[in-house]
Amino acid sequence: MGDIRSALAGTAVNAVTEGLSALLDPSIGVCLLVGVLLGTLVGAVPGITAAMAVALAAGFTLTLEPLQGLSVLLSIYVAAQFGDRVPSILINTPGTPASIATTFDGFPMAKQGRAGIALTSSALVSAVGSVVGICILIFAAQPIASIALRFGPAEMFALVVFGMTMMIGVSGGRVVKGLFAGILGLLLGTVGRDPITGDGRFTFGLNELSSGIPFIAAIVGLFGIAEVFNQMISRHPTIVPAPITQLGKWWPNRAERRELVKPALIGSGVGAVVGVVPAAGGDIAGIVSWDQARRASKTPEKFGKGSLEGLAAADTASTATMGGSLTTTLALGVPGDAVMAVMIGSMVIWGLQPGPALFVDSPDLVYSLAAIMLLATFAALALALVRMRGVIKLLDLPQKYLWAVIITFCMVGTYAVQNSAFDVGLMLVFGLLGLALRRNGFPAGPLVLGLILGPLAESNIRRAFLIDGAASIYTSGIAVALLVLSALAVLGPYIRTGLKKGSRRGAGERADA
Amino acid sequence: MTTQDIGVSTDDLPANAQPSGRRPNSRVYEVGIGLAVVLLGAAVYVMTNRIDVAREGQSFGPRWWPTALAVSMVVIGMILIVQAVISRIVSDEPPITKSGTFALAATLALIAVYGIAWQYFDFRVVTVVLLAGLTAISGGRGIKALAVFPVITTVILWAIFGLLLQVPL
Repeated sequence: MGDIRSALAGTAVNAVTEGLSALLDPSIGVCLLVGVLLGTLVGAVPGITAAMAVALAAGFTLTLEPLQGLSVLLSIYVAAQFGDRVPSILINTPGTPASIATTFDGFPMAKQGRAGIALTSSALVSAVGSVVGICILIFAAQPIASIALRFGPAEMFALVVFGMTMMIGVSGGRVVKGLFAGILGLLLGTVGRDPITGDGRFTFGLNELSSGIPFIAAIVGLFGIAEVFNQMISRHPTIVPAPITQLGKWWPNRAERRELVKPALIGSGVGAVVGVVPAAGGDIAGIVSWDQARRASKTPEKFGKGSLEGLAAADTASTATMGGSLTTTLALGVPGDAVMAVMIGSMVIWGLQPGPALFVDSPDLVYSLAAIMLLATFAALALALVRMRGVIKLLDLPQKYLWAVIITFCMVGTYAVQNSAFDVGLMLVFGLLGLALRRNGFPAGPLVLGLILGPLAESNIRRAFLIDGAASIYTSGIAVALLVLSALAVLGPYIRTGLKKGSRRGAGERADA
Repeated sequence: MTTQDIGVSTDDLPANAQPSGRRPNSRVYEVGIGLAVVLLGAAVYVMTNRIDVAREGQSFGPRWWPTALAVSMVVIGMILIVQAVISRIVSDEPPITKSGTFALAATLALIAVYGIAWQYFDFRVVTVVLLAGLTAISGGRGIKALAVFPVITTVILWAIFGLLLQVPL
């Protein structure tokens, strides 16, 4: 037994050594640097997602050696997660869907003149999340992947229900209006072909809507364009708003750094779990983590108004999903997210077959990929911190230029996703919808959450009920656990308030006695 | 944050007083919002029943989920109406201005023209015009704002999307 253990340990050491020595080739470093630069750039441009950039780069990398090509693709993937925070914080426009939750507190921080702190903290916690995700890939890939494999319709339905409870959290004290926005999002998620029967619904005869509402057009419109329109419609020609600048203080002090620890831990945990679930990515992880951090915070009332904790939780979680997604991809051969779907295609062309056999046939490759992601994380972090002061100067741009730049970049970026003018028109419609909702007190967060979870919710609820009725849900341990967590998430605040009132009343009665 | 569900008791507020930095919305307006939600839910319900399905009478068919959502919308709309009547909704959005409304209308018109022009003319030309127009609407004047800035921004856009990402602009 001891001999077998030492033999296995020896094999693992060999795999690590071989995996790391493969990275000593200087060309890998060049590929990594190119990928980080490209990823940061595309992440910072609203409309261009990491998946799109990786898909474009895949065409150019197929002529390279597998490890070189994977260095470029993985570096783009990692760096895009750093770049996309910048427009979220500075102009309230998510660079990619993974940074939707960054807008909740990042933009309010920028408006308070704390853009520098927001950007720096975001970069630091994003690096922490990425490292945690990579550790999961190295140490827990196979056991976690085996759990993820047990997620059928019933478990996915329970996961979606858990996600829906977040709608209350992201409503910012406007629960009823938040719920309406969430339901509107779920409804917009039904546009297109029915996920089970294929019948067309709410497409109004438009072929462009048959595959559903284009998600990028929706989020760019709801966040970026709606924000510009709102500033525009309430502008005062004689009052020029003071520019937001944060050039003096951009490194968080000790108290602020301490404030980042708890939400970063929550975000790492949430991101790690969400990342390994196929079809759940950084967008969902960010929102779920933001809500969990709010519940755990001593100052939940600050969330959505410029809370450093909220920003840290969202950003840590969305980057922590990367390791989980790669884990699912490599261990199961099931793409963890859209980027991994593209990566699988490239890997197959290079003759690498992701799946359980990969860990047996070429374990060194797994360690090489983990090391590439780690190096890309540090390179992206360095780049993010170096260009920080320059980025903040964007805020110095006079409003007359800023509005024009945001509108034009959003339009061209949205067009670039599918080369579709229809998407641009739809983005503007969502911009006006976002403006109307905002002016009437309806938060956009739950709507986006509904849009993300809608198709998942409907298809899994219906499949679960069609397979075995309600029994398919209450006979699954994972599903029951998730539903209990959902109930606690909704009822928890009320129970806590009731307990507090009870203890206060008891103390008052004791004092009277 | 725009409004709060937590109603502000009118007893706590002196006449004409407003919570700090917030404007109370009129009850009629808030009831109107609730009514609009109810009507939207009803409209969705009607549209849902008109969905063409290949096979009628399926349990949990294509109409089931949207119907559930439409009913939820009607219920939420009713709650909003009740909420508008029994509590006071406040808003902290800055008020809409006349010049702002004009700027937004002009921007939308300019974007519509740009969308049409893009089909017939070169992207670089129409984008320079769009940027100059948007800057002018926002109060930009002079060569720097109406010529230099649009040209430089268009060049950057072209370099990123047209050359680097190979998007057929």
